[in-house]
Amino acid sequence: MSPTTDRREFLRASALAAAAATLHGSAPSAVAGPGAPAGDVTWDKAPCRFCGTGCHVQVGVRDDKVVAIAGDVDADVNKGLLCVKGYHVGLALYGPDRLTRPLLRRDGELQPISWDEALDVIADRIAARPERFAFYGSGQWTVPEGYAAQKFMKGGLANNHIDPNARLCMASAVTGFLGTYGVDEPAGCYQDLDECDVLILWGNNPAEMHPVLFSRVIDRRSRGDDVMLIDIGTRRTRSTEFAQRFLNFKPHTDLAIANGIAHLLIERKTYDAQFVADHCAFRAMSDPPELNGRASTFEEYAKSLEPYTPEYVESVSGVPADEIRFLADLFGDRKLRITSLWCMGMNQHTAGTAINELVHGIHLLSGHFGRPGDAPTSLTGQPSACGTVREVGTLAHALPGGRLVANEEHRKECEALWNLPPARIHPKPGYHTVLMWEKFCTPSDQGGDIDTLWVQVTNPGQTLPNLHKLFDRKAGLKDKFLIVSDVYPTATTRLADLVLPSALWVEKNGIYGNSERRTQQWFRMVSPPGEARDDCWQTIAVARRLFDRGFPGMKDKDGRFLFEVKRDGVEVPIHEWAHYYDVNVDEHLFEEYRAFTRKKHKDLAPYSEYVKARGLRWPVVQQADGSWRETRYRFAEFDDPYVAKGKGIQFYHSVTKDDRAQIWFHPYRDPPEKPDAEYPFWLCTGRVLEHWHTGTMTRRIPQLARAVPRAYAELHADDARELGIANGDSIVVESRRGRIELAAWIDGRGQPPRGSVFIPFFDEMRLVNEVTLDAHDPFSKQPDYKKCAVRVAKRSAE
Amino acid sequence: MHCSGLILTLDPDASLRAATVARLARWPGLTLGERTERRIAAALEAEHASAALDALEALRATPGVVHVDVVFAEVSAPCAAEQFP
Repeated sequence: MSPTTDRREFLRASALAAAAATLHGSAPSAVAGPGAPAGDVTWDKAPCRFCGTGCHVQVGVRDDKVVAIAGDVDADVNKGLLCVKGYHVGLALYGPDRLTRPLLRRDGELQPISWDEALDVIADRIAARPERFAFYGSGQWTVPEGYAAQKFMKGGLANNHIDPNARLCMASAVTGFLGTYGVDEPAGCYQDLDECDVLILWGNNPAEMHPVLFSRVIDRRSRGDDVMLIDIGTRRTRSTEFAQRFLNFKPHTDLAIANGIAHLLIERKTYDAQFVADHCAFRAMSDPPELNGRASTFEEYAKSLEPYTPEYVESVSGVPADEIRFLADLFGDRKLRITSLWCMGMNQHTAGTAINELVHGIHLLSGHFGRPGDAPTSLTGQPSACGTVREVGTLAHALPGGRLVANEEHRKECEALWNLPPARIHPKPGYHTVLMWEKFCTPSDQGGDIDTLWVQVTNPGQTLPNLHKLFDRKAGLKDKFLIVSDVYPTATTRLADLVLPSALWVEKNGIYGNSERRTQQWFRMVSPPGEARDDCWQTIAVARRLFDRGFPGMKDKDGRFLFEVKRDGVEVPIHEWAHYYDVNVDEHLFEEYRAFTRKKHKDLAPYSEYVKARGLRWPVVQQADGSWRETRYRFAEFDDPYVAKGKGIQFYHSVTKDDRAQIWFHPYRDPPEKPDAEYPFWLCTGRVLEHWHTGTMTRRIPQLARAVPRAYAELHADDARELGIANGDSIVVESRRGRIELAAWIDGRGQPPRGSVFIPFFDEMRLVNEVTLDAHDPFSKQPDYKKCAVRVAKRSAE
Repeated sequence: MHCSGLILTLDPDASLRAATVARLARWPGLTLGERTERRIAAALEAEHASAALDALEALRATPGVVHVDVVFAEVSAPCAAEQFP
């Protein structure tokens, strides 16, 4: 048999073994399958690099290269299944234009320099004006990377100007959870999808954005389960195709719909009076507006809802009154188990906090909470938006473990755990994302007090809203300095002054935290290319450079380096790349971070437990026999170890300190920008199945790039006809802020209603954020990418 | 050569199933493996990744096939012609 035939048969056997294992839900038994070394391929587990679902893959490695990917049948999240992005994730490492050397802009050109020079350049910039430095990351930071960046900034530089791309992604979900329960992140988990009778998608398209989760529901249907799927959306999507009901609402009017449901529950007395009496309190907005508002009463709440009759809601939202009644009927039926699911539709919203709180409120008011399948659940778009951003707290106002920089007691706790001198941590929150970039793109003599900005693991040159204002203006500002750590050239590196090549995914150790509170660990499996290095090392190396120069902030109160790691009592020089992997830096940072997680009942287990598991959902609490037990359902006595015996349900982080969750009233108000005579269309932006985020990885995977090679504008057929636009025509979409040219797609994958247009944001050659609006939610500071006013014209007719 | 591991889910209508399986058995590059009542493990071989994607779309469109899940992908040899520009 020839080597080619051998290899062919080996691969076929591997593929069949992986498929058979998934079919039976067991570890593969065939010789060539993942789970055991076979031939010259070794296999190990890792969470997928892309979205926040947290699917586990088995990564096949040969000759220091990833050569195969299989779904991990031992993973609770995906049970062996993967989406089209997941099974190509290994190719994300091997685009032809990987960054492999540090590059410094000289005379307008990026030119190679050494790491030593690069670290000096950064240290010079920071040491000169540490208070004018900012760090911008994302939910793609691993937990240790985010923790190191957080400690470097808040503990080392006494500077709170650190914020993540997650601010653009799920900040409104955070404020919604905080305002309702006093603590962030969903109470339920993915098992809710297996148990619910009704699944309501609130502006959510999981068939494309979280396809493996969606397939859990569709699989139930194919097995004969009676699951009702209701899609409440502003355009028809692939998810709509599976829904029994599609409620097409006018953009921004979801607040009126939620209030309409609550109004009927009260008017018909079908709300759960006992659940409300036992576990809830009422809240309304304060004057001036504050996140926790003011106490309200049931009577005031009911009165506030009175105008939201089904007919009024229909007039505002366009959703027929009978559909509002139907939704209220469902919530009024205690026998049903109802799961609400949302992601960017509710979060990227100028009233994002409000709509999040209203949907939580409907569940609480109707008692649809605390049983498997009965849950309001938000999803995330990035693989560690929860684990790194929300839990480590890489936000301008936060400290690890749910602590706040503005709280003196919290600062003291943090200073004690970091062994810092008193008052090291600055009490004033730093700049949130939009403000950070506005300050960076404003001349220094006009109040632009951020001079140096370091970006890791994200691509703001493509994702920031209103790019003209928040990114492009940097081009003319000579005193501003942009540092970008990334794996490929991006829309952000085009304006960078210093580019640092980073290791990606299984080229480094890592830990992520997914949408259902699941913390997931993996080991480095292959070498990064050229001189690419871990982001965490980059941060520690800069910290050490400052320490060696005598910068006081990089010392703890005993004069030791903030990131000191010892082995057998001897310091390991982890700031030198050659020694970074002499110890497991991830483990060291994680164990230090763990102490914070117990502050708000988000307990994590020791690192070694995650090595054994396909992730564990916090709180992970040690049992009498020494084992560690994860928690699937928070606040419910049957599963959450922190609920007192006999309480049933206990919201133990209640903002009112009485174990009650808050049911909020927020009125519907018009959005900041609506279509008018000059700009008559709504613009909504989003993702597609084949590409993840800004496409920097997926557009370099040939299979995915070929499937959806470029961005497009979805139009309604009648609008297109009136504008003389045919399928594939080049069109111009223009707002008050900018314009974009791209091809029209009519009756395509998604179908927007008349008067609206949808454009995906993955394509760096067609930056839709030149058009979008930077208006944001007053509490979460999250911008609204889902609605602004635009006009549309055929290019030749301009 | 590109190889994928698949789970094919078949229509609940048992009368269609035999014909669907027979059609799949004749599919170029598709090797059928173990099966349960409505699901079949399979390996799909194609000359390159683009051909594999086309075959997947064709499989999804085949009468009697409800959906196709990919659970394994060999990623060692992307087609040079498909490199990102």
